[in-house]
Amino acid sequence: MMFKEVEEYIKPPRVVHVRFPFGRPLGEPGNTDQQRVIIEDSLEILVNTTVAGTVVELPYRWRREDYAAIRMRRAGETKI
Amino acid sequence: MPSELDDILRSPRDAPFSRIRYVMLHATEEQKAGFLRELYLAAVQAKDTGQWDQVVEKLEDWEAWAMAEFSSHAMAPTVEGIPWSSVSKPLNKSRIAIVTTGGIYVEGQEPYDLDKQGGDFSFREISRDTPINQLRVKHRGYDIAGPEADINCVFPLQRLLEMEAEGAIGELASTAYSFMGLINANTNFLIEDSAPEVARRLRQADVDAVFITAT
Repeated sequence: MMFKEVEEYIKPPRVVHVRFPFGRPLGEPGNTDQQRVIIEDSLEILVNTTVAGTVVELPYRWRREDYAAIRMRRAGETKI
Repeated sequence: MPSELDDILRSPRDAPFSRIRYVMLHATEEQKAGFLRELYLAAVQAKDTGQWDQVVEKLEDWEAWAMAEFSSHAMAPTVEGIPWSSVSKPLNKSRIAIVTTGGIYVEGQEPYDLDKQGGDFSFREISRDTPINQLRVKHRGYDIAGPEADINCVFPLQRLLEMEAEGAIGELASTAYSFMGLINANTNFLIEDSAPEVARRLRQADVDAVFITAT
């Protein structure tokens, strides 16, 4: 989600927070790698969260990350 | 004098300004001046050191402040308790549905009513087989240029279909649901009517988890 204070009062069971511009919760238009990183992290949090009301703030800094490299690293990790 | 500060801080509605523009809304004259002074100092220092990240971080700190300030003035429905259901299957066996508040609809469906008093609390069903070029966006609360250029930055249809093909998730549910999240006075209709109806349909479709995106 995009808005920390709203997350606090609507109380969803699991929240992934991103500090991205409004209207781009999964990343920039056309940036498939960025979108995949956010979606994969979110699904990971879905599976691993055990406490209702958990809010996870993702560390990504909008355009200042190399999302392709992050995905490459992950692909390498799962192969081992 | 104060009006000149407002002139400087007036910003367009597009995405880069989507958070920082709230500084304008609730900051005192003194805070607005403080914001500009801090930004000026950070920019000049960055010119010298090359550390432009500190300008970005300064902006992000003020964005966070502005959003907190904005929400403290906003009306919010009272919600008791946090709903919970645990995950019973691994991701690669799960049926996942997309739900969004981003105001997505399909060409031919009735668009959301931007003028509805209290906010349009209706929803649209979107088939997973909808061609991408048939998807439309209507929303007054954010800059829709993002999803208009690439629907997946709000409505991750193609990304989740890819993940299904790769076996990362079991299955993308046949139907996704969209609301237009700009609902103010009508949240009771959402809470009592349209949201439970969507939940009922998701349950009927044996969906294991819902991926909700807000804009």
